Amino acid sequence: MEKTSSGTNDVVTEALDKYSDMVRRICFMYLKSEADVEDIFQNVFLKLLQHKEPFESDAHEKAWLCRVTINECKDFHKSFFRKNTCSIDNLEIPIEDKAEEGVLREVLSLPQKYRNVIYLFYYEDYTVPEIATILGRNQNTIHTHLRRAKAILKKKLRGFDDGNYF
Amino acid sequence: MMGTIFKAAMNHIRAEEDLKRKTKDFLIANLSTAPAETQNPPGRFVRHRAAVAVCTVVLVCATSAAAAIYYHTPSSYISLDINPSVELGVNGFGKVVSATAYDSGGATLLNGQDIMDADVKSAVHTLVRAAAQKGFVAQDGSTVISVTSETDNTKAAIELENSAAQGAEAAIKSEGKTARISKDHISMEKRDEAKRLAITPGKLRLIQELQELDPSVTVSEYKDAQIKDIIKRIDELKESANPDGDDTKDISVPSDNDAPDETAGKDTPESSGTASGTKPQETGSEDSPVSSDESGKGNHSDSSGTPGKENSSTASSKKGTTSSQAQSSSGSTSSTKAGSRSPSSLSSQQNR
Repeated sequence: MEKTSSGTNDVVTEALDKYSDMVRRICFMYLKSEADVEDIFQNVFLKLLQHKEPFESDAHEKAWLCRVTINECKDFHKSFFRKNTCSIDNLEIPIEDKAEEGVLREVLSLPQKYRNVIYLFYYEDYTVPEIATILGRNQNTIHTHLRRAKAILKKKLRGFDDGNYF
Repeated sequence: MMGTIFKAAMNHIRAEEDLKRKTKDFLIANLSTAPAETQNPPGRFVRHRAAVAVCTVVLVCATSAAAAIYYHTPSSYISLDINPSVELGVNGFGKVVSATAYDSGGATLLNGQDIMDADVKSAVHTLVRAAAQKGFVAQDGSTVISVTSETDNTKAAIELENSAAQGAEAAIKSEGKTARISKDHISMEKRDEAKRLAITPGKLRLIQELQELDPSVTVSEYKDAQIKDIIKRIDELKESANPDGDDTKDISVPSDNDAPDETAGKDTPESSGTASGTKPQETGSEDSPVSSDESGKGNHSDSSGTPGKENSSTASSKKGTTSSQAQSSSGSTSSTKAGSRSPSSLSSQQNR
């Protein structure tokens, strides 16, 4: 994202308005602490605003930001002191709807590689090839991850309400 | 269905205003004075890789240097005494990595010879051949070539002295000359002692052998003597110490093999050597250079004690006898294994 003559303030505001929710959701998939989310937010948007190469399109910019955010979160988790510091059981999910909360909790309990594809596939509506590009993985790998994630969720969510989530 | 519910659930997740405000403040502050390290994250990556590359290069260089140092550091030595005298440094791979002349003749001998990185056998072969061509080996077969390996590893010492003796023998043969070849090995401690006395370890070995036979002998007395003279004196003393020990008996040793004895068991492999020991006599007239190998082995087997002492029993004298003696002085030719079983040799062992 290039800075315009309207000044740094406008550029920052525009970037935050446009992508802060998406970045926050990706962070939600990985991080449990507000302080950690804040760190990731700052790093991700700093990178976006310092990105010198112009993006081909908004979709390109969005995909780039998805990848940067996921990588930041992964790097964050690689830190020795931040590994396994919070359990999903203790996480407070601010959703009243039980079905939504149940699905979200099960998605969050998936292995990280499955969470990525579920989020990008179901929420961002990316195709498998696009997810493969964003995550830098083979398409077949993404297919496999998606299939296994679905299988896990199907098994866990059975009996939940009508159990027919898929 | 799951996708819809998941989407609906995720729609509740939004960036809080407080989070946005904090991030905005951070970005405005940092974009105006953007620190170098956060400005260009790839730079960090490049630096990381550069550091790893530098470490790898340093490690490779250090390993190469260590390997080079190890290769060029002698782990054992071969002292070649013909008069001239030279000492070859041999590395852990059995390659010659240094050559030192102990006298002017040694310098002459080494001059122009490319023996570096050669194995011990071919290096000794080259030097002995050069010595023969430069007139250091007498035509009458009186020359004694002494090869002494210097290392604390007995097994390696024996291998080295055998290789060196084989090289010397082949060289003498190829030059059509005759010489006695004396081989033995000593410890590095003896080598240091020889260094202190400024003589070659091979000569020190022979002088000490001589001292065992005649305690009045001093190192300084024989310091400048020729190897052949020292060995001649050793032979004389052995003969005088064993006036009854007739070599004829020794020579006819083949029959002795059947006989006793403590040595018979040890010398089992040498029994063939004994047989060959008789050959020199039979073929002595052929003037073939004496191969000290068999006798040398006999010595080693006999010498269960200190290497120095074993050495002092000199394969050289016994063997040497075998070779050239057949031509010149057959009397002293108590060669090889037969020699080791001869009364004189037995007495010398007992003395030790």
